[in-house]
Parts: sequence; structure tokens; C-alpha cells
Amino acid sequence: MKYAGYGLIIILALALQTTLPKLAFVGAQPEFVLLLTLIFAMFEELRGAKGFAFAGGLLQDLLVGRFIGLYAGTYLLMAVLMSFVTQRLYKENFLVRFFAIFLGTVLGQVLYLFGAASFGFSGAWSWPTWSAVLGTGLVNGLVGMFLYRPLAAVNRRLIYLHELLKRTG
Amino acid sequence: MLDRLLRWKIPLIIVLVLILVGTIHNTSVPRPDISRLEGLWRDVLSPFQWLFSRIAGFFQNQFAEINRWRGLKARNDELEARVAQLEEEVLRLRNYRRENEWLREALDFREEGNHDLLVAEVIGRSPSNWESTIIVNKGQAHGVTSGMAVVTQAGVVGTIINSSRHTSTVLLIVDAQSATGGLVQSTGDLVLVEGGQMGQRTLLAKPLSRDTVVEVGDVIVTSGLSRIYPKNLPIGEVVAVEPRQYDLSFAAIVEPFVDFTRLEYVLIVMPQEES
Repeated sequence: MKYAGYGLIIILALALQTTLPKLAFVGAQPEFVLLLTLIFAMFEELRGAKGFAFAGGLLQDLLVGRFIGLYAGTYLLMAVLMSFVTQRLYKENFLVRFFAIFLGTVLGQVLYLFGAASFGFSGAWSWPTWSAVLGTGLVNGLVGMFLYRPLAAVNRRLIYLHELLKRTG
Repeated sequence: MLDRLLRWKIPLIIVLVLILVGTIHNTSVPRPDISRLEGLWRDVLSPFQWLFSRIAGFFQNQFAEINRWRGLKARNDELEARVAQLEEEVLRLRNYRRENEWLREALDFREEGNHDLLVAEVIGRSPSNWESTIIVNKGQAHGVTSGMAVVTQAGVVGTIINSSRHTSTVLLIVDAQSATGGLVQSTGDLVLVEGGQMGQRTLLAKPLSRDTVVEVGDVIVTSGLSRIYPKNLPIGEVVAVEPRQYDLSFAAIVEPFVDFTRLEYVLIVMPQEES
């Protein structure tokens, strides 16, 4: 039950990410899967967060069709990093959440671009690239700031239903 | 237990990393075909994408519509201002066209009649109900003096009765004090054309001899016997002939050719010897 719920969340996030128009003021679209990965890494135990990050990244890779595995690896790394960092932070604070997600998004994208560049991606490290990276970080930070609590509630509900189904057969 | 786990974990991570690096490397160049897994995944996702694109499209359309309305308001204001400006211009151009037509006709009239004519604009009318005069914008400064004939290309208007430096007053031929020498164009009989049909815009043509014959439809023109009007300027058309007392005489009702209610420009006939 829990995994089906996570799967549906990833599907919805990817569908939304691929259909939303680019935001005019940042010139980029939000990275919802990365955002969910970072949020899950905040409240989930590391193992679950890693699984979610890897699955989400791999599904995004399959959709992109290039450098398959790079998103999976990057998101996995970001989940580990985020989980490690936020264990030491007070996550209920809005500003902490915002900066954690903002920095996580920026770092995740930079890692992906760096990885892609290592495998022959010829994207220029120009100002538009940085603008898009920072813009996406900003959007993810703002959205994540408010999405944290509802997502945590959904996660709790999913875990509850999962346990219920497991126990009642 | 932990040692065993760590013993397996590290090789697993290494294997995983190697697999990832391999797939990344293999898919780092654009491929003409996608794998079945990728195709399946895209097919699974497509209904959701379709749904979200519809929703996003709907909101985009709504925003676009709002923006369009905003733009329309500004555009409407701009166009309204433009329409007002153009209407004003059209009005001005219509005036110019009418003035131009009038001046062209006046020019033809001047060439036909070989008169020295001065174009004057009607700038006022008599403030009294009991006299029929107009004020024109030409006066002594332009050589206009009392007694000069005022006409249009349609016919006789009246005479100048007084003038200031820049304006003149014209006594219309329909005024009670006006009397003009005329003749019946078809017979050449002389008549005296008087104004004086109080409150009416018609003239009375009175015969000067017993043998004068006037019929409805006859055209009355100036006789040229006076020094005011040149000869053969049209005055009006006979619309009725009324017998006078004891049937000894008659008077013809003449409708002037000039529409005195719509006078905008007139021509002042300048004496040739003076011009």
C-alpha cells in the first residue's frame, strides 16, 4: 500500500513536472521529484528515503531517456546528504526548510549537470544555466516550505494503511 | 551481523555504482530507439500527463483571458481616444470639403458672370425676429460698402445695408424693406420683387404694367435696371399667382432659389470700376 502510494506520488510529480510551463520569472520549471526526494529525506528514515529517491530518479531517467541512472544516482546521493544534514536541524522552522530545500535543489542540479558533463554533455556553464538552477531552487524552496506538512501527513496515513493491511491480511 | 552486512554492503554499492555508470555511459549519446521499459513507462505516464496538460492548459487559458481582458481595456481606451480624434478630423474634413465645393461653384459662377466677387462667410444673423439680415465677415477694410449686392451661385441673397471695418450687414431680399427690380425670364416682363411675407421665406412679385403675364413655374431674374444687382441673376420661381383687389392686378408668390436658413458663405458683388 505504502509503495503504491509512493509510486502514485512520483507519477503525479513527474506528470506535473512535464506538463507545467516554464515559469517566466526564473526561466525554468520546478523539479518536483527532487523536491519530494528532499522532503522525504527530511521526515523518512534513511532507508525509505533512499528507496524513494532512487525510484523517483530512475523513473525520471527513463522519461528523459538520456544518461539513464544519473538522476537516480544524484537523487540517491541528495537523499543521503539531506537526511544526514537535517537530522541535525530543526525542520519545523519554515526558514530552515526553505534553505535546506533550496540548497538541496541547487546542489542536486549542479551534481546532475556535473555528472552529465562528465559523460559528454556539452551544456555551457553560462548565466542562463545558473539562473535556471537558482530559480528552480527558489521555486522548490518556496513550494517545499508549505508542502512539507501535508506530505508528512500523507506519509503517516500511508504508513498507517500499510500497517493495517499487513496486519489484517 | 554488522560485519557481515558491511561486508556485503560495500560490494553491493560498488556494483550498483558500476551499473549506474554503465547505463549512464551507454545512454549518454542520443539514441534512435528507446527501450521497452522506457516505452512502457512513458505509456503509463501519458494519461496523467494528458490530464495535467489539460488542467494546466485550462488555467493558462484563464490567465491568458484575464490578460487579454486587461489588454482589451487599455486597447479600448486607446481606440476610443483615437475614434474621438478621427471623428473630429472627419468633421473638419467634411467642413473643408463643403467649403471647397462651395468655393469651386463660386469660382464657376464668377467666371460665367464675369463679376468681381468677394467671398464672405456668414458669421451671424439678425437678433430680431422681425427683420431678415445676416452679418458677414467682410467690411470696409475689404472694400465693402453699403448698397453692394450679395449673391450665391443659387441666386440673389440681398444687399449690404451697412458695414463696419471688418463686418457687413446684409438685408436679405425676403425682408419687408427689400425691393428688387426683376423680370420674368420667359416673357421679359418687368416686376418688382418685394420681401415682406411676414414670417415666411417667400417673395412677392408685383407687375409693373397691366400687360404683364406671370404663370406658375416662371423664373424671376434680376432686371439689371438698378445699379445694385447685375442683370439675369436668378431670384426665384413663381409658385402661385394671386389676384389683387377687384381683380385689377395680381401678385405672384416667388420662392427664392437661395435657402436662407443654410447660408454659410456668400459672394459680395464688387463694383467693377472700383475693383
